[in-house]
Amino acid sequence: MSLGVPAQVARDAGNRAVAVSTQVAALICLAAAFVSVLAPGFTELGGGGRWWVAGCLLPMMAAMLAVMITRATLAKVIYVVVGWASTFVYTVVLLHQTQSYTDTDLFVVALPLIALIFIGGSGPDARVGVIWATLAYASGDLAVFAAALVAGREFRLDSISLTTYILFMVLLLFHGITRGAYRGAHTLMLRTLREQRADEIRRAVAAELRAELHDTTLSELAAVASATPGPVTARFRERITSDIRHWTQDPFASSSPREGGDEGEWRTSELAEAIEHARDSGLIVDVSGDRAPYAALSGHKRRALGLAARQCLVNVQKHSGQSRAEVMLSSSDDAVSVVVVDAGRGFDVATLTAEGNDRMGLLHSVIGRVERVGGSVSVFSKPDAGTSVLIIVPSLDDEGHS
Amino acid sequence: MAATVLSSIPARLDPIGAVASWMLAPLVSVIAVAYAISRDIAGSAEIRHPEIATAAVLLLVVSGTLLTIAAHPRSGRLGAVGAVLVVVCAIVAAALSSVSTWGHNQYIQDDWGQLGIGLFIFGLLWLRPPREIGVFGVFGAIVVGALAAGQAGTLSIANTPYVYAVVAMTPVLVFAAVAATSGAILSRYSIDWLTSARRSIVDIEPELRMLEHDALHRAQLDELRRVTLPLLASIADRGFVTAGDVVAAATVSARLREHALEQSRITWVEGLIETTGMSSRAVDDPERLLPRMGSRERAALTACLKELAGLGAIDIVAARITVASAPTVGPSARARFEVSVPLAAQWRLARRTARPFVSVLRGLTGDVSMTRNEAIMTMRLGFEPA
Repeated sequence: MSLGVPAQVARDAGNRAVAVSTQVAALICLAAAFVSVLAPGFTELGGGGRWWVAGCLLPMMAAMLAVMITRATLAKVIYVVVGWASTFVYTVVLLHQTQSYTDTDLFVVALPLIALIFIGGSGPDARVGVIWATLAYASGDLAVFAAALVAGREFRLDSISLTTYILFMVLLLFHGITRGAYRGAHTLMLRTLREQRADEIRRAVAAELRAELHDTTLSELAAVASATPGPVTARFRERITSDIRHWTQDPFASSSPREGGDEGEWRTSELAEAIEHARDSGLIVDVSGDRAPYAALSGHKRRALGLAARQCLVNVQKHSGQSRAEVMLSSSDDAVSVVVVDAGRGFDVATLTAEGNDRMGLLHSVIGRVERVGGSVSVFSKPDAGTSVLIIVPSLDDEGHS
Repeated sequence: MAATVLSSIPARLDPIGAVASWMLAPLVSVIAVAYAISRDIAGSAEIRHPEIATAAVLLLVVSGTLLTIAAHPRSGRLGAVGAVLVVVCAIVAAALSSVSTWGHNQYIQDDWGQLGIGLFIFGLLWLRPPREIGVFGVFGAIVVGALAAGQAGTLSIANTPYVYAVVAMTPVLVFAAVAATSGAILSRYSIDWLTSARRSIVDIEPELRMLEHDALHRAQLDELRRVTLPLLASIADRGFVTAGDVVAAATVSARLREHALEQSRITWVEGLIETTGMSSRAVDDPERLLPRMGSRERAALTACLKELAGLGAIDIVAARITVASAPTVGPSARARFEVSVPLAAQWRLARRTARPFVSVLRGLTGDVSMTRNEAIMTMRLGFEPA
C-alpha cells in the first residue's frame, strides 16, 4: 500500500514496461513460428526442409535479443533489416514446402510480421513507437509480397497482422495519453506527507523541550510561588543559576555556528527550496556538507547558486533516468561550492557547446547565471557514466568582504 | 525481490497509475466483444448452433462487464476469485464459440476465442499479480490449444493438430506475457522508488530533528528571556525572595503551564484545519481518534481536501468532520471518518479532482466512498487508529 510513484518514475516504468513486454511478445511470436514449422508431419519434403524454414528465424531472434540487451537505435534498425530478410526467406520456403498454402493470409506467415510490428514498443515514447511499428509493418508486408511473387502464390494482406497492428496502435496511443494523468496529486500528497512528518518531529521535539521546562524552570517557579518572602538557601540559588545556564548555554545551541539567523536563512534560501521542489517531484535528494557558508553568502550569489542547483536537479529528473541525486556543499576561505551528482545516463560534454544542443538549461540557467556573479561551473559527464556539476561561487565580494 | 515483484499487484503499489489506466478494462472488453461479433457475422456460414454462438458472445459481455466494474475507480480492485471468474467466463465463451462451429470451422486463425481470452487476461494487468496472470495465460492457452487440436481433420488447411494448437495458443500467450511482463516491471520500478523514498525520509530525520530542536530552543529561550529568566536571575543575585517575586512566579508559572498544555494538544488535525481553511469547530471527534490516523492516510486526505478547496470545488469553510468508532467483528478496532462539505462547483469537477486521492486512500484503507446528496459531498473512510 503506498501513495504511488512520481511522474518521472511512472513515465520511465511505463516506457520500460511497453518496451520489454513487446520484446518478449516478439520473441514468443518468433518461437511460435519456429515450433509450428518444426511440427512433425508439417512438410511433405521431410525434416531437413523444416529446419531450413525454422533456421530463417534465428537471425531475427538474435537481432531482437540484441535490441533487448543494448536498447540502441542501431540494433533496432538492424532488427528491422534482418527481420525483413528473415521474413522474406521464411515465407518463400514456407510457401514452397506447404502445397495447401495457396495465399499469404495465414497465421504462420503473420507471426514474423507481428514480431516486426512489436519493435514499435521499443521506441522512447508512443509517438516514435507508432512510426517504428508502421515502418516495420510496411517493410514486413513488402517482404511477404516479394516472397509471394517468388513462390508464385497469391499475395493477400493477412488479417491477423493487420488486426495486431491496429490493436497495437490503439494500446500505444492509450499508453501515451494516460501515462501522465493525475500525477500532480502524487506531488501534493508527497509534499503533504513530508510537511506532516516535519510537523510531527517538531511536536516531538517541542514535547521534549516542554519536559525540560517542566523539570527545570517550572519547578523553580513553583518553589518561588509557594515560598514565603525571605532569604533563599545557597542550594536553591545554585539550582536557579544552573537552570539559567541550562537555557542560555545549551550545548547544542552554543556549539551551533548559526547564531544570527543563518539557519532561518538556509531554510528560506533558493537552494533549500530547490531541494524541496525536487523532492516534491519525487526525486530523492541526499544533502551533505556544511550549509552555513552557503547561508552566509550575499543575497544575489546565494540566489544564483540556488537557482543554478535547481536547474541541475531539474536536469537530473528530465535527462538522467534516475530518481536519486546528491547535493554536496563545501567551502574554502574564499569560495562556496555545490556539487550536484547523479548516476544516470550522462552525456557527451563536448555537445554542450555544439549548435542546437538540447542542454540550454545547463548553458543559460546554470553556467551563464553562475558566471554573472563571478563564479564558475565544471561539468563532468560521459554517456552511461552519470553527471556531476560543480558550481563554485566566490564568497568574498569585490571589496574583499565576505 | 523477484518473488515480491511477481506477487505484487501493480495497482496497490501505484494506485494513481491504476486509476489513470482504468479505461484499459472497458477498452479491451469492447474490442473483444466487437471482434467476436464481427467474426461471427463474417463466418456466419460456419455456425451450426446460433444459440450457442449467441451465448458465447453474451458470456464474453459478462466477462467484460465484470472486468470493467472491477477496474472502475469506484472499485479499483479485483480479488483472485473475481479474476478467475473473468478468465473462466472468457474461456467458456471461447469453448462455446468452438462448439457452435464444431465440424464446420474453416480456419482456427479466424476464431475469436483466443483473442478474447488474451485481451481479458491483458485487462488484468494492473489488478492482479504477474505470476497469477502467467498462470491464467498458460491455462487459457492449453484450453484453446486443445479445442483447436480437436478440430483437426475438419479444417480447410490440412495440417498436423500440433500446428492448430500453436495457432490458437499464441495470441493467449502473447497477451499474457505482455501483461505479466508489464506488471512485473511496473511493480519493480514502484518498489525500487518506494524503498529509496522511505530510506530517504528516514535518513533526513536526524537533520530535521536537529534543525527543529535548534529553532524551538531559540523560541523557548526568547520566551523565557522576556520575564522568567530575569525574575530567576534577580532572585539568585539578591539571595532572597520578595512578596512581588512570589506573585510574579505564580503568574508566569501559570502562563507557561497553560501554554505548554495548549501546545501538547496540537496534532495533525490542527494542521489540517489550518492548511485547508476549515472552521476551527469543524471536527467532531469526541474519542480523539483522528490524531491516531496513519501518516499516509492523513497525507492523502489533507492533500485531497486542500486540492478540492484550492480549486473552489467545495465550500471548505462549511465542512463538517465526524469521527467515531465503528462496530467491528473481532479484536481489531476500526474508526469511521466522514467529511461532509457543500459543493461549490460541479460534482464532476469534484469527483474528477478527488479521484487519484480516493484511489490512494482506497489502497491504504480498503474502505472509501465519495457520494453526493443534493449539493453536499460526503467522503467516508474507515481506518485503524494507531
